[in-house]
Formats: sequence, structure tokens, C-alpha cells
Amino acid sequence: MHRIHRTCLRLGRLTAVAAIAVLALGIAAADDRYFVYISNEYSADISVIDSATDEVIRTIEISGRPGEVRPRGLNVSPDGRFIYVSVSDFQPTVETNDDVIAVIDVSTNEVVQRIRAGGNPERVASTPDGTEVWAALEAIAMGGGYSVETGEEIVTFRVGIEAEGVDVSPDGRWVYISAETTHTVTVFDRHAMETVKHVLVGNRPREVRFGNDGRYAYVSAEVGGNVSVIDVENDHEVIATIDLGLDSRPVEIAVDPVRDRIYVVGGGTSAVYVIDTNELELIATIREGMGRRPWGIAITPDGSKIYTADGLSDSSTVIDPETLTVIGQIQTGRGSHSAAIGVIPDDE
Amino acid sequence: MTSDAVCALRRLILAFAALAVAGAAFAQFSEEPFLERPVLMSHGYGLEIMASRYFFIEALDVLPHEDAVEQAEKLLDRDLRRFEGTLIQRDPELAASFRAALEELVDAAEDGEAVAHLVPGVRTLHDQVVDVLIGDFQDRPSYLAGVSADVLIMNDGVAEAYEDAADDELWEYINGWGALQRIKEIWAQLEPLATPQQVADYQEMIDFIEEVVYPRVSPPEGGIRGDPEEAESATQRMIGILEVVVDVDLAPGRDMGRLTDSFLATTEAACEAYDAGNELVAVEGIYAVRDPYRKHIRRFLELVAPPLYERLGELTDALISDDPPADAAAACWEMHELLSEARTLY
Repeated sequence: MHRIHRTCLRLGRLTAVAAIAVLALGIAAADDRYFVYISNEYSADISVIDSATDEVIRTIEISGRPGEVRPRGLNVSPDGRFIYVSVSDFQPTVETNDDVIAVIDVSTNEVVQRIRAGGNPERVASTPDGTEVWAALEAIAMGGGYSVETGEEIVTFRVGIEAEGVDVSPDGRWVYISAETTHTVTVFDRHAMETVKHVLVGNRPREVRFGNDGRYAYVSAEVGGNVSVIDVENDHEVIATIDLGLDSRPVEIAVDPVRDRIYVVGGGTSAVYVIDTNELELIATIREGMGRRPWGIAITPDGSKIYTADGLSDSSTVIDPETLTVIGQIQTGRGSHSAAIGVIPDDE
Repeated sequence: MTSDAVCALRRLILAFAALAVAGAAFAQFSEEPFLERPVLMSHGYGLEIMASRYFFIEALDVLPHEDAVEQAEKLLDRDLRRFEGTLIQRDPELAASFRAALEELVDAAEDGEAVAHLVPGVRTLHDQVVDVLIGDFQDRPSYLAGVSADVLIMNDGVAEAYEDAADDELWEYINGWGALQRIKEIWAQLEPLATPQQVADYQEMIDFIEEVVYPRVSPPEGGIRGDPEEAESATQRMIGILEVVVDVDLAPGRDMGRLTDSFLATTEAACEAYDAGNELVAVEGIYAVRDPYRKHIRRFLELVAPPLYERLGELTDALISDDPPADAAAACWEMHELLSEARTLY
């Protein structure tokens, strides 16, 4: 029996709220067609997949120096028009100009901006209003916030060692940054511009994601083999821990925009774990047909398809969230790391 | 259908449902060697790191740089201290012979002489020491997996040695190369327990590390240019595979509370040894706590309780140093008290 440690009872249903949120954001896709971005750490490029055909239509070079500079975490602007890419070199002890947040314009699939973010940014998240991006700076145990318009640094603040996961709450107030070696999530109040607390989560946390309504946040723990659930409104306390098995090695999380679910990739088991966010329990595990060592995962804004980034098979696995089965495999670049979905403009 | 029959059917259905759920149970491992036998595992770690060093000593023969000699000196300065007290208690003659053989080896290395020919003799004594300290446990898969995990990710092991080498301690590299050779040896003993896929996955990681991280015994002349953490991801994956192959929990930091409880018990025994005047045995307990504390707990304390982190660091470093505190017992008990305080934080 999978074990769930709860200190709260059931959560409210989120489906209606999520649907309203999607409409409110005004995200529009041209005929339910999206561009899926897969960062490839070792080939130092981004594979762009057309979700209508599930074919790679373009490869965006990030540095031209594979093995020296690498793209890793991806995130998408609230309107889906820009992809943010955490880019860093392999020299954490030396600060170089290679540490940036690259911005890809979905309409052209070109890199249109590079925001300097020293300290080996590993993952990045944007604010709901799209004016700022926030990064987990792996090498220097810091979090950083940057203006999208000017590229200037707004603030940096201390977090745990080997910072990795980062997300901004839907109301824009909280920045959560996880740290692998310290096993913590640092809570930063963006309005007061101060750190509120450090929350102990599962062992070796990799990613943090706020739920659609921002009431709860989910933190995957690779060595802990679990997902911690943080109650954002209750002093950022961990209220539940969802076990996925000590061998699961969970990494990235995707929050379903239309269903009350999150999807967590298991790098150790090459699986995707499907968690019901109302019941806080595992409802399905997808294994058959999966690529090897999935690390990244993203779901289209309409909730119709899930894409993973599979680091050892250099691929992206396509999953139908209705049937929870694998429906395709797409060859991407070397060391596929993260996934994000861009919205193609209506005139595309 | 009668009501009794309906009830019986319901019970039967529930019984099958329970079996089905149990069948879907997640992996939770049946042994926890680092929590069950912390001092023995610490002895094992020391012995395995020594075994790793023999590889580079043999391969290099004449150690080409003073920093390489320093890695060999660790056999005496560091590794032996993890278990010498207990060895002396159990077999003083063997302890004396082993120390003498190591001293001969290290002295020759310091004098720039060829030393490879001395390694077989040291290995013979080493194996006898393993018999005395580890006994039958040495063949147990959980022990072998546990020491593999240490050699993969702890100090002077596969991952850490490379990181240190990249960070201006270039000759730490040879420790990592040696550690990889020892990992391959141990895997040969565990491989029969693995499925073909697990064998392929583990070998894939070994091949990667061998090709990319440690292609030769000596560090690259121009230094380490690539990712210092190149080996880390692979070693973590290897540990994950070992856990499933052997059904053993190799990450004691998963439950920081239980780990600290284990620290408290080990530290208490060490402090009592100090009280009894047995410093050699006492320091073994400090080592057994210090290494996993540094790996799994201290970074959390550094973030949330910096004064506690600093003082624990001072005490543990001092107790294992060549110049320990005059009142080592008092320092040990203070360490115990601070660990108790840390325990309240999680």
C-alpha cells in the first residue's frame, strides 16, 4: 500500500477554478497546436516539436559549444509567447558570461534576449504578469530575480546548497526555490522582498511547482522518492508527503491545467506518476513505452498532451492524459533535460 | 444468494483487493546498514578507500608529484584511524604488522621510490584486517552495496575526488580513479543478483565514468576543464540501481531524524570510550558520525542554524585532528549535546 502521511483532509475541487484560470489568461492556440520545447543539455540546443505532427521542426542552437555550455531548465511566459531557458557553463566555481537566461520568441523560434544570471542558473520561472523571471542559481546557493524588460537583476537572496527548482505563485507573491543538498524549499516574499523561511522537504528535492490556484505547492524529492505538499496559506507548512517508492527518483512536475492532477517523472523507474491533487494519492503509473530516464515533463495548455524529456534515450515521450498511455516517441537531442510548451500566435 | 454468502463474498473480495494493493506496494528496502551498523560501515568505508588507493599506487609505482604522495599518506593519516583502535583490541599483532607495512609503503613513496611491489603484501594483510573487523558480513550483499555507495559518493570516492580535482586539488583525481577500480571489483560480486537490464544500466554508468571522467590513472595535464560534477549524476544512478538489486537502503539521509538518532547513539558510545581513556576507539565513533553528518545533515544546519553548524564543525574536525582537544571527552559530550539540539529542528 502506498503510504500517504496527511495532516489535512480532502482538498477542494479545482477543476472549475483551473478552467477559469485558463480562460482568464487568454491563452489561445492556433487549432490546438503548440510548439513543444525540449532542452538538450549535452548537444547544447533546443528541439522544437510541432504538437500537431509530433515532429521536430527546428533545432535552436544555444551556444554552439556543446560540452562547455548547456541549456537545462525551461519555463514559459504566462501568455505562452516566450520560452525561458536556463543556460550555464560547466564551471560552477568561475563566473562567466555564459550564465544567462535565454529568451526564445515562439513566433520566430529565435533567441531574442539573454539575461545575465551569474551562478549557473539551473531552472527558471516567470511571474504571472510576465515582467520578471526568477532563477535558482545552483553554484552559489542563491535565488535571483530579473526584469524581463531591462534584463537587470532585481535581487538575489540566500537559499540552500545546489539550488535547483523554482516557481512563482499564481498571485505573484511567493517565490519558492528548492535546494538539493540542504533538502529545503526557501520561501521568498516578492512583495516584501525578503526571505520568510526555509522549509524542510524530502531528501534531494529537484523541482517545485505551485498548483493552479496557488493554494498548494508540490516538491519532488529524488532520493526521498516522494512529493511534499506545501500549504502556501498555512505558513508554508508541509501538510502531506506522497510516497512514490524509494526507487522512483522523481524529478520534474507538470500541473494539469484542466484536471485535478499533477504528473511527476520518475528518472529512476522511467515512469510518469499521476497524482490526484484532491485525494493526494497516486492514481496511475505510466511505464510502457516510456523513454529512458525522463527528467522533464510538460502538458499543453489545453491539457490534451503530455511531453517528457528523456535524458538517456535522447527523446521526448508523448502521452495522452485521457488514456494515460504513451502515444509516441520523438527523437530529440543529446541529454534531453526539460520540457516547456509555447503557444503559437493565431496568425502562424 | 444468502446474506451469509454475500458477507463471505464481500470478505473474499476485500481480501483479494488487499492482495492487489500489496502487490502494488512501492519499493521500501528491507535492510538499512548505515543505520543498523554505523560503526561497522564506517570501518568498511575506511578499508575500501584504502583498497582504492592501492590501485593508483600500483599503477603509478613511483608517485610523480608531492600531491600524489599526499594521497598515499592518507592511508596512515586518515584511513587507518577509522578502525585501528578496534583492530588493536581484537588482534594487536595484526594491527602492528599492518601499520608497519603501511608505513614502509608510505615512507618509500615519500622518498620517491618504486612502491608497486609493496602493494601485494599490504593487500594480504589488508584482507586479514577485513576478516577481523568485518567478518562474515564482508560477503553480505547489503554490506557490499553499502561500501560501494560510500566509495561512489563519499570523500575521496568516485564523484567527490573528481570534484575536488576540478577545484584546484588536481591530484585528488587519482583517488577517484582508484575508487572506480574498486567499484568494478565489488560489482563483479553483486552482478549475479541483478537482472540483465540492471547489469546493462550499471555497466553503462561505469563505462561513462571510465570514458569521460577517469580514462587514465593520472589527471589531465591541463587540469579538469569540464563539469566538476560530471560523475555525480552517474554515481547517484548507480546507487539507485544497487538499492533495487540488493533491496537495501543506501541513503541514510532520507530520514534525518532517524539518522541523527543513530548519531546520538554512536556519539554516546564514543564519549564513553573517551571517558574510559580509549581514545583510539573513541575517534572511530567520531569518524562514523562525522562523515554521514557532513554528507546528509550539516548543510541543512548551515542554512537554518548557523551557530550550531559552526560549532559542530569545529568539534568534529578537532576530534579527528592530529591535535585533538586536551579534554576530548568534554568535547565529545558537547558534540552529543549539539546533535540533540539539531534533532529538535526536524
